[in-house]
Amino acid sequence: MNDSSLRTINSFLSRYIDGELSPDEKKFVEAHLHANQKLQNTVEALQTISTLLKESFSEIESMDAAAARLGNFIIRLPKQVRQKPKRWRLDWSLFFSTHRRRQLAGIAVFVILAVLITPTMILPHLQTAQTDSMKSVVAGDSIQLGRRASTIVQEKGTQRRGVAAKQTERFGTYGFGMGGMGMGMPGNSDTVLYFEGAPVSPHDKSPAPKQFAAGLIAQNAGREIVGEKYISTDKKSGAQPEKSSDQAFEQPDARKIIRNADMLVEVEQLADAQSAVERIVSEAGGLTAQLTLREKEKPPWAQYTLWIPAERLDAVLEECKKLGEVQHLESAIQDITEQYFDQETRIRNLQRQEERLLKLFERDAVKMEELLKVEQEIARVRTEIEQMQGRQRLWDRQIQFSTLTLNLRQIPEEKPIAESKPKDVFTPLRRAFQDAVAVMMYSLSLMTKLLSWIFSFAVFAVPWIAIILIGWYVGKRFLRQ
Amino acid sequence: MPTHAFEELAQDYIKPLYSYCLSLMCDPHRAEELAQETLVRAYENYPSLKNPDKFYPWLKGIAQRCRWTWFRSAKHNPVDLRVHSDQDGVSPTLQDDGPSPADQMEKRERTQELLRALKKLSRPNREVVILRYFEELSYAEIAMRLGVSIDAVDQRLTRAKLKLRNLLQYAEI
Repeated sequence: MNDSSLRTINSFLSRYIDGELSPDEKKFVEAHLHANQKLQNTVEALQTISTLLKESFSEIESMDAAAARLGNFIIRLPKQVRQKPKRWRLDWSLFFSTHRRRQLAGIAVFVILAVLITPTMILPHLQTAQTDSMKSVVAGDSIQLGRRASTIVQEKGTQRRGVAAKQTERFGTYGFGMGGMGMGMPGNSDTVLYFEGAPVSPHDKSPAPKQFAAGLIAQNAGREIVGEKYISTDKKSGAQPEKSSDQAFEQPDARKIIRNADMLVEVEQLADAQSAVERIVSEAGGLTAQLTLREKEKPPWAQYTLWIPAERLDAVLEECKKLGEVQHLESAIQDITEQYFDQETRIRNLQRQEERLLKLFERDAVKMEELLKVEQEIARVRTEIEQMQGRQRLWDRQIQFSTLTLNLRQIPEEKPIAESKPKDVFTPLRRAFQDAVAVMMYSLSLMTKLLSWIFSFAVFAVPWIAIILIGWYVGKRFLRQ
Repeated sequence: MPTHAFEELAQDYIKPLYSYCLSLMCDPHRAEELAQETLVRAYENYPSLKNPDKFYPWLKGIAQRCRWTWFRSAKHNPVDLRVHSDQDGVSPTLQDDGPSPADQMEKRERTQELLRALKKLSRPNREVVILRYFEELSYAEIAMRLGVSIDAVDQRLTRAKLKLRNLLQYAEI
């Protein structure tokens, strides 16, 4: 007998014992019973148990009596127990039956709106971000390296300017590389300023500034020098003679002070103010390190990061105050005298060490190994010196040129109109009304913002809510079972 | 929903409910108690029942939850139950033609033992045994009540009986 027929037999056994099989089925079982002793034993055991079950259950009080009692119990229920009010539950059957179509339409509209509105909400931001990044003129690190003189280079047919840096001869490649980032990137470098370094210390032997500039310009055809300006103090104002590191060390009394200022001015016309700023900066011998311009915004504004010769900073601030209404002015100084001269001493020590090493290197009777070691040592010392000198040049630049962050903001149009009207008794009332309208508009704008937030949050939350609901239902099912 | 509907519905399902309670509790007295409790709960919450077609599954669900509540409370522990059933486990009909007190005792013992063994079966198997031998339904009726095929009912019964035999044999030893 195989397994499958045994399984079939197993689903007949109880009925066989209870005599509830059809004649055919009965024959089938009996045929198997004859052949299988084990099956016979099972049937016997089943019979015993069935009898036992029948007997035992007959001893338990009969079903009818219990049912009768429970029936009475049910009749008494309304008098003894109060029904609880209907519980509120989210009715999903409604969702998919009665109002299904309307609701599905609602969801569809919602989804379509989400698809349409979300990009229109995001895209303008992306676009302004792009135009902004194209408008800002960022001076790279290379600008911080040089400081002595600058040639302002302007691109043909535009107002754009920039700085390229050349540090010293020894840094030539490096400085050129950094400057090249501003100048040489074909296609997108619309901003070029050239900034070259005069010899800083006796160790620096740069080529003549103009020569270098000419070289750079030759490499960047299509641009021309429209103006040449030496803002190095010894060449222009002469108020503060240029100091090399060594000279500075010989005058330890000179304080090393960095001055910075931050200013916010409200102007009537941004374009006018911008040209005024450019004039002020060029008169003061400063330059624009960075410019961010947002003309399309309301109100339009511009942010300048200006490098102004330190001694002219106060004058420039005064000039800038005349541009419009000063909303904010912050000025700070930082005294770095101590660090500066510490660094100075360190550089001198290292230079002496370098000289000694060079002497060692020049001796003839030296082994190859030692020669290599000395060479390594020279390279290390040289690097260190150069790093320190680089930092010092940055400091020099910061000391000589104060950084002025100038924010220009155009006055919103309503304001001058309100102020230009002649004052009369009703002015306060009108003001109050205008204020009220402004507040209401503000409140409305906040409301729209809030709505847009809620909307984006709803869109954001849809998958989460779906997951949570599914989890809830599955969990409920699972727990119930 | 009108109240009389509940009474009508409940009267129709008394027997199935009682059988189900018995299969849950394996004890006639506690089964009746459970059925009463279930009916009270069901009556209280009847307005919340949305679909009267699912009245019986709903009742079963309530019975299950009631049983769990009992298990959790110390009031109805299994020891308590046995004292209960030992006290009045004898039916009046048996007392009438019962041959001798000793015989009666033995029979009662055996019934108790069987009920205890029944408790160790899985619920589907237990349910089938109770429907067949207590409610005395036919195979077709059981199949309909449980929503399975007749063959499945037969198999479950056979399996339940064999398991019971083993359990009782162990109990005797």
